[in-house]
Amino acid sequence: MILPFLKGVLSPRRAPITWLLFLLNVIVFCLTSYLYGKSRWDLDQSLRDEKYLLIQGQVYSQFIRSRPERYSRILKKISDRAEAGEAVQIKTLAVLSLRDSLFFDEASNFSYHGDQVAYLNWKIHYEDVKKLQMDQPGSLFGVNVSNNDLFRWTSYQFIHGDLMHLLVNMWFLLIFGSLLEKRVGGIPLLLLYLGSGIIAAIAFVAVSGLSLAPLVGASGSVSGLMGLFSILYWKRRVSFLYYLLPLKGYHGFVYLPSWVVLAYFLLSDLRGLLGTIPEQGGVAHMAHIGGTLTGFAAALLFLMFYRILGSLHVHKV
Amino acid sequence: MVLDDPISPSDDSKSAALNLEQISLATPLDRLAAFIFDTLIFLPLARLLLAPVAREWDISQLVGEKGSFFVSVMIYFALFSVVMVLYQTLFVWLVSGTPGKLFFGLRVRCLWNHRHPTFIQSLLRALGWWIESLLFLIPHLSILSDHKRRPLHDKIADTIVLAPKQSHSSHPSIFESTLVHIFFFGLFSLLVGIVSGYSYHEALLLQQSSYDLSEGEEALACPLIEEAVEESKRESSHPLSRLEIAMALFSVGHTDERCLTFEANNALKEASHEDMAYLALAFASTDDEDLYHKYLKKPCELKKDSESCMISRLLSYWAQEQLDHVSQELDEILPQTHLYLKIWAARHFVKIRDYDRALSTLQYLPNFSWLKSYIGQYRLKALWGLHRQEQAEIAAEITLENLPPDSQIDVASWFCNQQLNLKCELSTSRSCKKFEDLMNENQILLFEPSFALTWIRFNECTRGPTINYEELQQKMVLPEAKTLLASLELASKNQMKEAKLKLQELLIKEQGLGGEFSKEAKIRLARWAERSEELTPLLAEWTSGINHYKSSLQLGNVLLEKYLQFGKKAEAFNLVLHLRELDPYSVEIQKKLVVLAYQTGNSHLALSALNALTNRTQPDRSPSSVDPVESEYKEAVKRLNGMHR
Repeated sequence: MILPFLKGVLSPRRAPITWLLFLLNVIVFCLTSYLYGKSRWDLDQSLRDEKYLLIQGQVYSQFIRSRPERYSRILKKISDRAEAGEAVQIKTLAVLSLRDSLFFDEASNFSYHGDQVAYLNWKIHYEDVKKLQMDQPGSLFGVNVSNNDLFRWTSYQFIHGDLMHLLVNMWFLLIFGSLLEKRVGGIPLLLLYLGSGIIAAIAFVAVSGLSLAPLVGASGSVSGLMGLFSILYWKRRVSFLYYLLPLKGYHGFVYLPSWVVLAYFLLSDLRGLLGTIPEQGGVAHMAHIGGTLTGFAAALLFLMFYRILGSLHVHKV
Repeated sequence: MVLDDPISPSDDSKSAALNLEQISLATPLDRLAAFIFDTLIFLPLARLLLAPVAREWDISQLVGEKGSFFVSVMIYFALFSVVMVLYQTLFVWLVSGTPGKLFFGLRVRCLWNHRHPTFIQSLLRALGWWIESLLFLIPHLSILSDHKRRPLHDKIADTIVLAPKQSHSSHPSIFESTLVHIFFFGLFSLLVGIVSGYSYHEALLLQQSSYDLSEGEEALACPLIEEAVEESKRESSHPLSRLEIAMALFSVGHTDERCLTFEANNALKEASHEDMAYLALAFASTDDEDLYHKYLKKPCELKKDSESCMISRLLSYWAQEQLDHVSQELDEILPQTHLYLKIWAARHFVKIRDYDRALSTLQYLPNFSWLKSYIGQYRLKALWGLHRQEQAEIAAEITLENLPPDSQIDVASWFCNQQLNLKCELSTSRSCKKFEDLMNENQILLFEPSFALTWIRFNECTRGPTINYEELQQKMVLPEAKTLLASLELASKNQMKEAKLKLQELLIKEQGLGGEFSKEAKIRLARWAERSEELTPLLAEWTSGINHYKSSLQLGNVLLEKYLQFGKKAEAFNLVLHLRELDPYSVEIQKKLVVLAYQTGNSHLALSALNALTNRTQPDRSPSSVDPVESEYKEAVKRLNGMHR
């Protein structure tokens, strides 16, 4: 394990905005985690009915075939196999259909050719599933093609799906946020956090096509902070915490150039973007890249601003 | 991070000599930590380079293209290997160590002159390293035991891994070496054990291949439709539709709900035979009553005068147990109707004990290969129901010959049970012999209640009074079978009160299930009755089930015998009237009716029963069981004939 440590976490007195953002994220997580867990459980239970899944997959398959120009090569291939009666592909389509905004909006009025009894039963059940989907914190506060407004561009930055997601984002927020706050000030940091989040959301929506999968979490915002940090302290060596073995000499700190942070995470996101298909949520990596690019832009603005004022001085990290 | 070379700090050329006083062998922990470090660097890098291949891998998995998936995995593995070997080779050749090794100050050097490795050496070392890694990293463990900490890849490339001199000895101690050798020996023994165990398990599986057949059959269920369609095309000038064949196959139990649903959905998508498709979906949804009825309504919603609508009405009557209505409707549509309905009708007529119509319906069925065993089984049941014992025996032999091995047990058990209930001497019949062989081959069959009951009956008949119920009880797996045998054991010791209590216990346990053991318990309770009052609840329950054809003929016969034994002629007369309805083909019942009608003063009924009897040409299959009433019958006939004149 290797994590950026920089100068560690500064106290709330020295980095109040960072700590405020941290507290906000933690409080929102505490308030929404039960709702998140419950809605996931309910949705999972409602999808356990095999008959329901099979008819949903078949309806979605016909839906894809009725609008071939709207769907990817992959979905059309799965639909072909589903039409040939392959149960696994029918169920795969049933699950994928939950992420399709077009299907979500139009399925109830779609004219299905096939078993009308099962279709009518499915329609009733599908309304319940839709309601469960809509009531998830991810749908209420997250961003996707259907829920895409200023409120959600902001609210999604404080919603986390699980504890690990929260812990990783908060570690980076505290480490980078507290150091940057000392350098650029509280309000610019807050603006950068929110601005990076908004740009990340826009980047996500731009590439997510018909996907209903919501974007949640502070990753985009934190990527912005990391982008800014990497530009401001480009060649400076900063400390990283490494932990390879639980023995003396095999854990501690190592000093590496700060661009390593950015390179490591950009490579990881690039890998995610190139290696994961959109149907499986690969577009979420675009949000990180969007956030990071916002951080770059902010850093350039910041540097220009200081250059203009002629008061640029680089703090020791 | 130690990026400067601590082993040869002033190393300007790759042939520089080492300061031997300052170096030692790299410790295993250093090398392990370097390996973890390299993994943290290498994995993200390799995953980025191979991302497009991983994407194709994901796509083929999602789409379900097994061939492409396998190819993608192989390409991924091959490219990953290339990247891994290049990473190792280039770093070792250029800077004498991978980033992980550099981080811990380790250097890879030639064994003999401690100089930088050449490209060939680096490549050989990397290839060896990768092959060892593919063997679950196990060969790397020789770092712990080798005197110079050189695993196979270092030996192949003539290299050694060095580190700056440390205070402690870097050579392995004798204790460390011994421990590693013991570990290797243990690991080797474990591997040999696992391989031997696996081979033994495979051999066992081969022996038990009969159990595995079921999975294979399930997988073949859908292709069976294809074969049946081809056969229909070959055999008939008017081949049946695919859906009709699927429904017929489903009716005889040769295909499952999944396949039938698939065929029905296809028909609906193509908008052909929609009414029939909904019927098929109803067949496939019998586990969900609400859905079943919704599907049944659909054919009539589509076309009120269609045959499917009529069949759906018929199935509704069947579900409501209005069986007479069902028979009336069938009269109107047989023999022109669909194949699956003919199959279903034959079963229906056997269920309502209308064996003549069952036989004639069976004649309408085509001679398809997959239908032969069904026709054989139901012809056997119908012939037995008609009391044509000799014909039934021939039918049983032919059916058993034609049936696949795993279906033989059903026929053998059913027919053997019927024969043994008639008389124990028939335990040497062919079906009973077959049943005995199958049971001896496969004790797991005792899990099936009907087989367990036939097995008990078979043992009672073959062993007679020497039967050891306790031994039989130990072989049984079903708790109900154990309770029944415990009761029979008590009865054999003349502890009748306790034996009856055990049977009552069995009835309470199986209450509401209408199981096979409950039927058997009631028959035994009736046989063991010492007073006619004990028969009253059994008779009441038996009478209430007559209209639904749920009452057992065997229990009815036992009750009749017992009432006659207790001299209760009025009850026996009422009972025999019911029995005549249930089993109109039985000469024995007719004779008893003549006698009892005559003895209870119903002379007209006795006369008409006698006339019906004299018109019958079929011999009764079991004259021995009516022997006690034979003289009474002759007497009654004599007197009735006198009255008639």
